[in-house]
Amino acid sequence: MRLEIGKINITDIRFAEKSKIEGGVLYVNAEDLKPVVLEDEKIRDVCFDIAKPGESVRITPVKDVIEPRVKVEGKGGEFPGWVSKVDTVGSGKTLALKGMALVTAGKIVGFQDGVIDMTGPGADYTPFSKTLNLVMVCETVEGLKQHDYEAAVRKAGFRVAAKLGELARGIEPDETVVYETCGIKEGIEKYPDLPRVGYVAMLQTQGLLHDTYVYGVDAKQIIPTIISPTEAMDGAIVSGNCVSACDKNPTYVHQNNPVVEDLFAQHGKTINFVCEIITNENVYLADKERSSNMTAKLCRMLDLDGIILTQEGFGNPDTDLIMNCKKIEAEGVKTVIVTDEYAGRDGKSQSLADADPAADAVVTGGNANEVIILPKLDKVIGTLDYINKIAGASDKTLREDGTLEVELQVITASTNEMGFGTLSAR
Amino acid sequence: MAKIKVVHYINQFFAGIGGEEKADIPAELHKGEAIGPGMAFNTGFGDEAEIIATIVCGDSYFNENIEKVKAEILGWVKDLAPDLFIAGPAFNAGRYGVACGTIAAAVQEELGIKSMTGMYVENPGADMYKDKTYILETKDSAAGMRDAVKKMTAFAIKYANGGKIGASCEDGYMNQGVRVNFFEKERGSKRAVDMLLKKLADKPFTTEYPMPDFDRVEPNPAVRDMAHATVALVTSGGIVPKGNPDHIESSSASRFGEYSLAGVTDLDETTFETAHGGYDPVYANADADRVLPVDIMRELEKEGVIGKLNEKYYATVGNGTSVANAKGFGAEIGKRLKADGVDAVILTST
Amino acid sequence: MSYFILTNNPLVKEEFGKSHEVEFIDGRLIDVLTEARDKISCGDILLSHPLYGSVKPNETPYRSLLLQRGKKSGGSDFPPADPESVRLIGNAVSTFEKFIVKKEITNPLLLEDFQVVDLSLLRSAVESADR
Repeated sequence: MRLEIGKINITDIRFAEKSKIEGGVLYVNAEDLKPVVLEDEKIRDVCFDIAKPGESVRITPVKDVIEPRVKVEGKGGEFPGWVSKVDTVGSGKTLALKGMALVTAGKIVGFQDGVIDMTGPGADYTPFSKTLNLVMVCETVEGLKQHDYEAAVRKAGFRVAAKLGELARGIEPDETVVYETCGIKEGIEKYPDLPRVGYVAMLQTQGLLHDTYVYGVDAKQIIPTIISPTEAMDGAIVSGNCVSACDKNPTYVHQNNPVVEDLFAQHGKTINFVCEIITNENVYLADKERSSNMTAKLCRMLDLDGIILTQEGFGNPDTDLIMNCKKIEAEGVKTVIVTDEYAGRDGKSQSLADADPAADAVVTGGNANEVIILPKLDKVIGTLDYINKIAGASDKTLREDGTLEVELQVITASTNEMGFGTLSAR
Repeated sequence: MAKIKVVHYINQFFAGIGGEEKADIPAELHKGEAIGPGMAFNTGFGDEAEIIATIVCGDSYFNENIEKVKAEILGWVKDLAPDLFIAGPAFNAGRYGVACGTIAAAVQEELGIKSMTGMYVENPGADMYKDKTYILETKDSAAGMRDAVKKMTAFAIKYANGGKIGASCEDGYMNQGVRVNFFEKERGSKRAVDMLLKKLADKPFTTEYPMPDFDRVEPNPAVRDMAHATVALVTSGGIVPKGNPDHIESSSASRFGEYSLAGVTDLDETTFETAHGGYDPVYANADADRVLPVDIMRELEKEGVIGKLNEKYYATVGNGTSVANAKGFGAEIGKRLKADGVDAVILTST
Repeated sequence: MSYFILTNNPLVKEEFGKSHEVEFIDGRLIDVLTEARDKISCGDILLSHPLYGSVKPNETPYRSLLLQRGKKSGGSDFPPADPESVRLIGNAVSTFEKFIVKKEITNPLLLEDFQVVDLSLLRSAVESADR
C-alpha cells in the first residue's frame, strides 16, 4: 500500500472571522466549529482556546490530542468508523496540518489526569508543548453517565479535527513524504536479502476510559490482525483512553506512530518493513493467552525475522507485553520491546509488574514515578479542580505557593511507550 | 572560589613503596602530599581542586584488620574534613578494589562526606560497593591510568561542586540499582529500531532495562517414599540456639550456623531465639517453632509420615544478605546435607 | 464456566449480585488482593488480571477479581496452588506496596466515578468469561 502524506506547516493559530489556512496560519472562527460539536445533543456547550509554545499556559485535564488531516486522494476518509464510512484507508494521499494539534480537555471523571505545560520544566516532558494547540473544552448536559460523557467528547474531537483538516483541501503541501509497503511476494522478490521486520502494537482495551478503537470497533473484541502501517495515519486507530496520561497513546501518536516512521526510514535499506500487527490488552487472562498466541502465530506465518513490540498503560499490560515477547521470541523472531517504568519515587522498586529473560532487548521511556515540581503558570485551560485526584498526585500536590508537586505520570505522553519522546532511564 | 579539598586513598603499590612483599604495611597519613596517581589528579584538577592529604595502606593489612584500620582512617578523614574523598583507582586488583570500596563507602555513610572510587567492572569490589559509593568504570590494568584519571577528575569536580549527577550511563559510574531518568539524544522508537538492527545482525546491544535476575532452579522430582525419608530443616529466618553462639549478623549475614536437634522435640523461649533483625522477633522468640517447625516435624516422625528428622539443622539470616553470600551458604549447606544422606529439605523463611 | 467475583466495590455487587456469585469484602483494595492471595494459596485460580486498569492502585479504592474455585486432587486437604495465579497475585501485591497510599477518599461523586470505572473494567472480563 502506498500513502502520500502532504505536510502543511502551521506556524500560527489565530481566531478570526473566517476559518481558513493562509500563509501557514490557521485562522479559526469558533462559531464554525461549535455546531460540529453541538450536533451531539449530549454536549451543552463548548469553548475553544489557543495555547502556544512558550506561553505561561497549563492545559489540564487532557483527554485526547489529535492531528487534523484530510484525505484528498484514494479510498475512504479520515477517522473511518467515526467521521467517515469504514472504507479501508491508508492509500492515496492525505494532507496533514503539522506543528499543531487539537487538544480535547475537561473533566470526564473526577480523577482524570493529563497535563500539558507550554513552558517551564514540565514542557520538556511533553511533546505537545512544542505544538500550537487549539484546545476544546466541552460541557455536557446534566446527569450524563460517565460512558456517554467519554464517548461524546471523544467523537466530538474527531469531528472537529476532520472539519479543521478540510481547511487544508486544495492547499499545496510544504513537503510530501511517501510511505509504501509491499505485498508478501513482492517484498520477498524486491528485497531478497533484507530481514523481514514487523511492528506489533498493543492497544489499551480494558473498559471505560481504557479503550482503543479500530475502524470503529472496540479493540478488546478483536483477534490480533494485520494492518498496513499507513492505515493508522488516516485515523484507523483512535484513542478512547483517558487514564495514565504519561503512557497512554493519544490519537495523535497513532497517526504519527514513531515506530512506524522509524521503521519506514530503514525500509528498503536495512530491512523490509512488512506490516503492523495490532493486538489488545484485555483484563481476562484467557483473552491474553489467546491474543499473544495469535500474535506469535502471525509473526511466524509472515516469516518475520524481527519485530518491535510496544505497549500502552500500566500494570496489566506488562503481562501482555511479556507474554507476547516470550511467545514471539520462542518462534525465533527477534524482539525489541518499548515500555516505561514504575520504579517508585526513589527509583528502587521493580520497574515492571512482570518480567522474563526472553525480554533481553528493552527500550524504556523512563520512570513515571519520578517527582517533578511544576511552577505556577499564568493561565489554566480546563481546570485545576481535580489536580489533587489525578494519577501521580497527592493531597500535597497543589502547594501553597501555587506550584504543583507531581509524578511524571500526570504529564501527557511523558513516558510514551511507543518511543515518541527521548526520555529514558538507567 | 576556594579549591575543593580532596583526601586520596591508595595502596602500597601505587604509593611506590612496593609490591606484594610490602602489602602488610599499616595505614599512613601524608598530610599536604599528593602521591602517585594523586599527582595526576592534581594536574587534572587545575585550579578547581587539590589533594590535601594522602592515605596509604597495604592491601593485606587493610583486609586483615578492616575494623581497626577503618576506624583509624575515618578518624583522620574526619579531622581533615575534605569536600571529597577519592580512593584508587584500583583497576582489576581485587583486594585493593575491596579496600577502596570499603573505605569510600564508610566515609560516605559514617562521615557524610562525598566519596568516590574507580575500578574495573569485574573487580570484586565493584559488585560489593557500587550501590554505596560512586564507582567509575576503568580499564583492567594501570595502563588505563590516564583514561581513569580523566574520567574521575571530571566526575569529582562536578560531584564536589554539587552538580546534578545524571544517570549512570551519562556520568560514567556503575549503575547503583536505582533507576534514574534522563533525556537520550534519539527518541525511543529510533533507539528500538537501532537495537533491533543490532539484534538481527547478531551484534552486541545493550538493553536499557535489564530484566531482574532470574535464578530459577528446576525442582527435583517428588520424594516417593516419605515414610522412609530423612527430612532436614533449613531456615533463613535466623532461628539459633539461645545466645546466638556463632554471632550470625541480624542483617547482611556473612555466615550460617549448623546446630543439633538431637533430643529436641519442641523449641521454646529458654532454648532458641531468632537472630533476624528484619521482622518483629516477639513471636519467633516466644516460640521458635513458628519459624523452624521442629514440633510438627517430630509429630510427623512419630506418626510415621516421614522417616526421620535430620539431626542437624542449618540457619542464617536472610535480611539484606548478599546474593553471593546466600549462594555460597546454599552450596555448602547442600554439600553437608548430601553427606548426611538427607532425602528432602524444608526451607522456611520469615 | 463457574466462577465467582471477589470485590469491595458495592456497584459490582449491585450489578452482578443476582446473576453471579459475588463475595463482597468490606475493606480496602489491598484487602481484596490479600484475600485473593489467600484463596489462591488454597487452590483458587485467577481468571482476570489483578492489576487491570491504568488507574493506579493507590488512587482507586476498588478492586474486583474473577476467580475459579480450585479442584481438589489426591488426598490433600487443598487443591494444588496454580503457579501462574500465585505469580500474578504476588506481583500485584508488591506493585501495590510500591505506590504511596494517599488519604482516604470520601467525596461521594469521586467514589462513584471510581466505582463506575472499576465496574466497567470488570464487566469486560465478565463478558469474556460468560461468552
